[in-house]
Amino acid sequence: MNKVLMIDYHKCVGCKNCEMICSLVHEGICAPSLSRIRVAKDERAGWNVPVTCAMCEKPLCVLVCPVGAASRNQATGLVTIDEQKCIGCRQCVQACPFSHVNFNPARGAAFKCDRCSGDPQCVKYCWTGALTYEPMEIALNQKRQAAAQKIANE
Amino acid sequence: MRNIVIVGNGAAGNSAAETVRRHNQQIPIVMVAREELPEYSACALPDYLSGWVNRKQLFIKNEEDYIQQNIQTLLGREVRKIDAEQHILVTSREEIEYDRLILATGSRAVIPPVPGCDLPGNFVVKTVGDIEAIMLHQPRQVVVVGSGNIGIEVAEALHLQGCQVTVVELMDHILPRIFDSQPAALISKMLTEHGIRVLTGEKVLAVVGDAQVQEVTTDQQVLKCDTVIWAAGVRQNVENARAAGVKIGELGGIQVDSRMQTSREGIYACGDCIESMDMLTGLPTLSLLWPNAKRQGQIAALNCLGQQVEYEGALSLVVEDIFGVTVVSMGMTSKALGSGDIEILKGHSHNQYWQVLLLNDRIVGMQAIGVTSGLGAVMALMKNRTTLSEFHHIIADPDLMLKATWYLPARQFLDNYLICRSGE
Amino acid sequence: MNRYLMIDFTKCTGCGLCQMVCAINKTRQCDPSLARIKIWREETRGVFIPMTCQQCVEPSCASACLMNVITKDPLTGVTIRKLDNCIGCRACQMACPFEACTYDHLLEVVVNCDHCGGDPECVKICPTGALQYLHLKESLDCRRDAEALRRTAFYGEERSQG
Repeated sequence: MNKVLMIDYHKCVGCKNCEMICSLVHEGICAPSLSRIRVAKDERAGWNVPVTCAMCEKPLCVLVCPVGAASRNQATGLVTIDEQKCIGCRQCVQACPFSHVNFNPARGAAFKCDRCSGDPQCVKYCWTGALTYEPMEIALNQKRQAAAQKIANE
Repeated sequence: MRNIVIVGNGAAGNSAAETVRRHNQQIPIVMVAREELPEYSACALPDYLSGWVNRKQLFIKNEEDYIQQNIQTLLGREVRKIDAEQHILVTSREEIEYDRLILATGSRAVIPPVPGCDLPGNFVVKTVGDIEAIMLHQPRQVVVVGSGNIGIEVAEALHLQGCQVTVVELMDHILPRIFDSQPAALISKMLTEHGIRVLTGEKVLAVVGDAQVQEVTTDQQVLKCDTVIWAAGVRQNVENARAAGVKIGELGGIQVDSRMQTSREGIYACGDCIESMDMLTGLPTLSLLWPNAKRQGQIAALNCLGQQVEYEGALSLVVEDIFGVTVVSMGMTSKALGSGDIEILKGHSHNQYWQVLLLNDRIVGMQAIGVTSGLGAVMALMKNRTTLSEFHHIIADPDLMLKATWYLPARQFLDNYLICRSGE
Repeated sequence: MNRYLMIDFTKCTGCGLCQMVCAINKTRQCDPSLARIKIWREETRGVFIPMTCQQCVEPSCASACLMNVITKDPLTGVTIRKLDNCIGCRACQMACPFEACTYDHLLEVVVNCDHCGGDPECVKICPTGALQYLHLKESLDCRRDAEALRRTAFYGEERSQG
């Protein structure tokens, strides 16, 4: 059963641990601009929203790539960008509906979340539980329970 | 790593050398080549013959460029032997120890062994020297044997120089590996309308003459001429590789894996001399084209440097200018695909031809005459293996289309089908 | 850090001023076919897509060029051509997925957008702001914030005034 990365932004406090560990694991340095997961914040209003790859079933990044560098694995559902094939045209960056796909000018290639090949580190280091990685049914079930609870308490 | 030795000064060899330098400024690069000239574009040779470009414009590099890029060149050398055990390259002048060897030896033009093929007045078109020999000969009546890329370009070039030209092709239509019969016939018509004689399904049996070429005998007629240009195919320069135990493939090129590595450790190969893999079918293919040679050179160099890079395969892209009309062929022809579930969409109007080959709803080939836009977008669809139904789904939704902007030129190209059909 | 010509296709009205000013600026000819930016039009759906050179890091045009005329400027990242060596074969034009290369039928060479040396004329003249010259990071951060806002708006979250 394929797992999905669930984001409950209400629990996000904007600590950006996820950005630190993601960039460290993928690029060898703590650099938020090179992190795959990014936290958008509005300090005054008080919300923090982590944004990462949605692993779309019909990914736009795959459709707009003119050289076939972006692809989706049917079995795992993972959408990846092959850095070697990437020509740095940035169509995927512009096409992503969630503004997730980014571009590294130093490498001349686009980059995106790869779920750390099945063991996402951002989830491990998220201490508030805003990020979880679990089978979709379980995640949805929990959401259903929480919603039902809320209604029952009102 | 001690050094990287590259044999060949063509597209693949130079691409490999430049890629090494881009990633590593220290490692010594030694380039060994037969010709004493800096890198030039062999593709532009017919333009040199026609007078469209001058000799200086042919050259991509000059001697300073090699010095600036810190590439040591050993020109005017023949390779005598590759000692794959000891890692030594033996040339006609020296022995070079190599750490990594990249073979980019290319191919040579072949002249079939017909009687008279060694008479003065017989030429091939492969090097600057070949073109200058033709110019010196001052041809007036020319027979061009073979109607591939090179044959057709040379025929046009000589025609523009005022020669009377006849093209003799063995197969039933010209440009047999690049175009299917219908577009080939249209191109043939363009040539004949300009005064070039085109004979197809005809075989050259002999070249006849006393001191030099005077006529060509085919299986159907005798053609008076003073010059014969042999554009009848090439053979890979793989003799030294074979002798060194490097595995050669069935098609005659050096066998390489997806990292351009040959069967001998430390030896890589790229360009015309290899058997590469077709991007769409995965089958072995000889892709004797400039862009593929450059890409293969790049991949070979990266792997030499220790980067694990896979080659995505060769895709054919041929662009010709036939008396001012652009003709293009990409991917596979229907002959190459053979029978099967291929679908051909085609159409033509009075000055345009358009054809798209589909396999399992995916574009695998395209041929066009007189159409100059949307072609790159169609190639992108080919590389991306997008199905036409996915494509139409995106096109139908204006919001999605604004994300996939290059789909619009592709759609306008594919719409030509409808326009061309109604224009018949 | 390089800037890119960013196009907001939802704002393009197809007026064609970018094409005109580009052609005039680069060639002194009032001929949109010589412009380095071209608008692909779908009048019926009101879709207008300006397309120009994407300044790819490893351009398809450079791979296809039979004279190795096309390189990247190491400082600005712009795709540049040594036009003296261009023989006008148009192979690059056929290889580009974005229809970015323009065939200059007067000079008989192929050209591409070069950002006018860092101050693009088309951006200056675009009346709707569809064309902008931005750092990628700026643009992406803005879009990501807008996406975050879209998600929070669903829950009726507050939005600060600043």
